[in-house]
Amino acid sequence: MPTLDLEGLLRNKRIIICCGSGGVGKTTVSAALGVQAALLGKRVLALTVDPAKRLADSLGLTELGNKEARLPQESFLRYGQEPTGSLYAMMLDTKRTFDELIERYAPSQDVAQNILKNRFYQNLSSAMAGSHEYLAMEKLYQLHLEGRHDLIVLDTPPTKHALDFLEAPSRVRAFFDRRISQWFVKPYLTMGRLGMNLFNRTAGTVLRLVERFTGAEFLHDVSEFVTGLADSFDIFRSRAEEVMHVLSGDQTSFLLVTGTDRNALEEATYFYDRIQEASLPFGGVIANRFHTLPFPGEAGPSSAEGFDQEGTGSPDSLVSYLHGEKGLPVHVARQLVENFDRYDRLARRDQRILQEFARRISKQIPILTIPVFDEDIFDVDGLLKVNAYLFPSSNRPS
Amino acid sequence: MDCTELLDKRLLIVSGKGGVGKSVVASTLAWIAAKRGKRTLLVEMDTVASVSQMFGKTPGQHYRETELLQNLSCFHVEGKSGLEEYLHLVLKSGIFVRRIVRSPIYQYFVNVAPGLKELMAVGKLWDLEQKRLPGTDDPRYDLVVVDTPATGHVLSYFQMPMTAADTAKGFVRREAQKVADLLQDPVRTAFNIVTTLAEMPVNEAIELYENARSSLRLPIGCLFVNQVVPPFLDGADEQSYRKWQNGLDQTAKRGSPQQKGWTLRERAVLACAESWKRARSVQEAYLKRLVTVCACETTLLPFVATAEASLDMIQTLARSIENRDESMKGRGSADPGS
Repeated sequence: MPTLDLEGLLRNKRIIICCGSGGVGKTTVSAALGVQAALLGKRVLALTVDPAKRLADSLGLTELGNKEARLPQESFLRYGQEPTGSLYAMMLDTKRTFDELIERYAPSQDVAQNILKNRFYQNLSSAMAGSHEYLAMEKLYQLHLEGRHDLIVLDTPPTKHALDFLEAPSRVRAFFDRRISQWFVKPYLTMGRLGMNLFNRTAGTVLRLVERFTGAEFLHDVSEFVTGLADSFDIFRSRAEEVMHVLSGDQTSFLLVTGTDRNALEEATYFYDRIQEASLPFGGVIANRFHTLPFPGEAGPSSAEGFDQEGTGSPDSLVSYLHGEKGLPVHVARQLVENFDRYDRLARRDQRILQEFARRISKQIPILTIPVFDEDIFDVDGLLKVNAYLFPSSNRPS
Repeated sequence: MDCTELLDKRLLIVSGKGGVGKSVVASTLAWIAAKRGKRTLLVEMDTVASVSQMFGKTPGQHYRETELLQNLSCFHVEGKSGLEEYLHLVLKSGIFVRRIVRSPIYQYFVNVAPGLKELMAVGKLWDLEQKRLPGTDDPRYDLVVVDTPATGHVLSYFQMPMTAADTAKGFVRREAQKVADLLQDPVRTAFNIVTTLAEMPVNEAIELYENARSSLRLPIGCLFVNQVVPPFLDGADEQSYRKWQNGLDQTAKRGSPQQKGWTLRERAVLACAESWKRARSVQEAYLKRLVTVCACETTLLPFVATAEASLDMIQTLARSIENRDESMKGRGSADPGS
């Protein structure tokens, strides 16, 4: 298995995207990459969507709204680090990003204001599957064009649709479809039901059904939205293609973050296939919360298999040793050995299913593991602990 | 409410953040019900079909009931198929429905009409609850257990019938009202939350609890706390543990040459015990926060260290639920009264 050279990626790429299913620690990994990039002298922006509160707090992220906050030097100095670069963090507000796009591309300020108030528009981003993901990419693209940072690290929104932005150009095309305005909505509203039925019976039925489900204002809102922005549709479409162009270029790298239970790895396989299909530049896999036997400060076997070779016996003999030789009450000895056994089984399990996963994707894909930590990671100190595993050559575990 | 009392309901909704074991808990509740002779349907709503694999079956046909065990089958619900089925009911002409479904304007509106797919998915739950055995008034399913999608806005699904009952017109409004009535009926329905003891899942569980209760007025069932580490040694046991630990530390300081065999293994036992102690104390803090806010029946489920969710895991969790296993709680730390 080749090694994953994350430091090389931090030095050479302009955009790193951490993707993967929800709850696997994408935000933590992105923030840790941000910390390391700052230590390497980069001006780096960690762009995040839904951070855990304590991590957000310690990164100085107290509000939404696409505002960037610089992590104070003090946060590093406290843990004996003095970065030559700087780390900025920004909590992405997809709604705000969409509003900004409308304001920029609507034909006039009046139209823009009407659309921003339009109920249909307000529902749009939640109605269009994958639109949050797409808007995250759109914001990323804007920031990239602005060029104020050497590197942007993005973690994608935590949904099963996290790669739906790949279909953004076709979705945007379908969405900003002029025909909807020209063929259907306008005749319906101007001619009324009778006119519509003469015009197109199927469309008439569909619109009547829609009206029944959602009320007539909804169709009016759609019409206002579509007619207001019709002239800008081409701009939205070509912009979506530009975004995809930057994302598939060689200044970008995708990292796949995953947990190490079977469900998470199954989803990771799906993500991996999608990335391959779309020929996106792929960096490697980071397997988070990998169970190993804890050996603080010393190297030891990663599971009890290593002990078995030395012939030191079964759990029962370990219990009688701890009881007989060491004087622990037998029920205490038993609980300790049961606990040890739990850790050992988990370590073996994770090793086995990660190997299966590696076989299933490809031998050429580098995989890095981060162990389970007993405590939550929520500050620079915690992120440095993570980096001991992400950048083993430049850090040693403390 | 006792967790096993949940089985007397007609509709159990199981929700929680992705990765906390929602599907396993939903499957466990369904398995217990089936084992007790109830005709049970396990519904996967807008999720990747995966429960059948836990029972050693391949995923069934799309939008079709698949038998898992005696008394237990599963069904995969999603909004688009729900809407088509509904159109067949309303329009009564198959050819016409097919023409509508194929038309670009239909495809367009299915995707953009706010909440339409969600409404149809939840509407299908009502439909399943209403099904009767042919020629009788007996329900086709005694219990419907729903595994909800792992998104942050799962409640928007259950909000939809209430919204439609207010804003839609005519028969859609009447039907939406029936669905809303079922969801809010404490006799038939219970909304359950699954979480693990980590920051994000706990935040989400608290948010779900508060919104489901006050905004949506859904009857709350149980809170299932999954993957709980057992309480660490206490009292005299902890003292003898400390003594053993000090002895080992001193051996290490003297630089004993014997680093292989028992000593190495013994040190691994110690390292795992220390990790257990830390993990438990982090979990206890989250548990305390959780039970201060969520005033509902709480069941703690053990961490099961198997490779994947399987019937084995379901049986282990079922034992915890059925025996009302209190051993995970420790020194009253999980008791909201103390």
